[in-house]
Amino acid sequence: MQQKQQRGFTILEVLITVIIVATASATLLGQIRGLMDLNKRMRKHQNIATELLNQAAELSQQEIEYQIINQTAESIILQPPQKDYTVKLNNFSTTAKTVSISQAYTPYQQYQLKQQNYKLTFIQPGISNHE
Amino acid sequence: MNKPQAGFTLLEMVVVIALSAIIIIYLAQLQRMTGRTSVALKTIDNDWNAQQFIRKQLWHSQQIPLNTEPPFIGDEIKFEFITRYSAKQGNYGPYVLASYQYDEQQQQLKYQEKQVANYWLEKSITIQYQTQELTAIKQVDNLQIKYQDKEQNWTTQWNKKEAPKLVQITYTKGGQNQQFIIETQVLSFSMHSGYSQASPSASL
Repeated sequence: MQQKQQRGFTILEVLITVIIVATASATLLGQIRGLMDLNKRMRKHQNIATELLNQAAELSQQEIEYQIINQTAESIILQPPQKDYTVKLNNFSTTAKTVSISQAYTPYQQYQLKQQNYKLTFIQPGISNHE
Repeated sequence: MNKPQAGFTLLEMVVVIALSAIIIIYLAQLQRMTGRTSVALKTIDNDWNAQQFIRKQLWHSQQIPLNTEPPFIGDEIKFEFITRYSAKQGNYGPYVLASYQYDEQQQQLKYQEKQVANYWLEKSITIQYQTQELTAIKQVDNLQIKYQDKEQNWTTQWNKKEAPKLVQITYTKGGQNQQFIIETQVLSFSMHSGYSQASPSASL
């Protein structure tokens, strides 16, 4: 009686399978890496946004005595005590034309916090008339 | 007559084992990264939303005009206050007593709200309903809450007639320190629709 001959995979077949699996997993890995980068970028964005919101909360305390760092005709750069960030102060106007801070004082002023490419602008009662 | 069976050569076996090992390492890395990414992506939005929700609630925290009970009670790991920003009813809903508590064992910041009766402004707080305990932020370590008074001093206990000026929440998550400083009562000037107060013009 003739025995049926058993035939294994050839090395070429095994290599092709291995290469296909490797390529697929490498593609997936690349995509997962992309998602992780996105996650890192989102975290960074949220951390900076949180820091700016924290700074804005601290600035809401009107009793803070600011130190004037720089004063121009348009705006004033202030630094809160014992802090390493600065805040830019502009006059606020509901009209399209804004009056520069050296020409007038508005009861509400525009505060601007900046960190890297992120900017937080909010309106609060003016801190002084800067005479 | 039996035909001799041919096996793999040593070289073939070495090549296949080496390639398989590389693939196994790849797949293990893939699985680890997928797990980490999915957890990170799931929690990042939850955390951010929870943080902004706490901010909004504290912005809407309410000063009591007539009631003698303190509107804001807090210590190192928990605080509760009256606010108009509700998880169940949203903004401009009825007043709720919002409670945040850090569960050290489960490493979670828990939240629960209780609706108070409309007349709480003048009388003692009566609970109308209370929600289930919700998890605000998960996987939190070393959570600590501090309160700033008018003189800008930080304290870990609060039980006064007025709300603190600032609330600071600090915790560690995934090895990263997180800190939130939130001002209170920024948007607490308006009355909700359920509270009727005769205006001077109406009484004339």
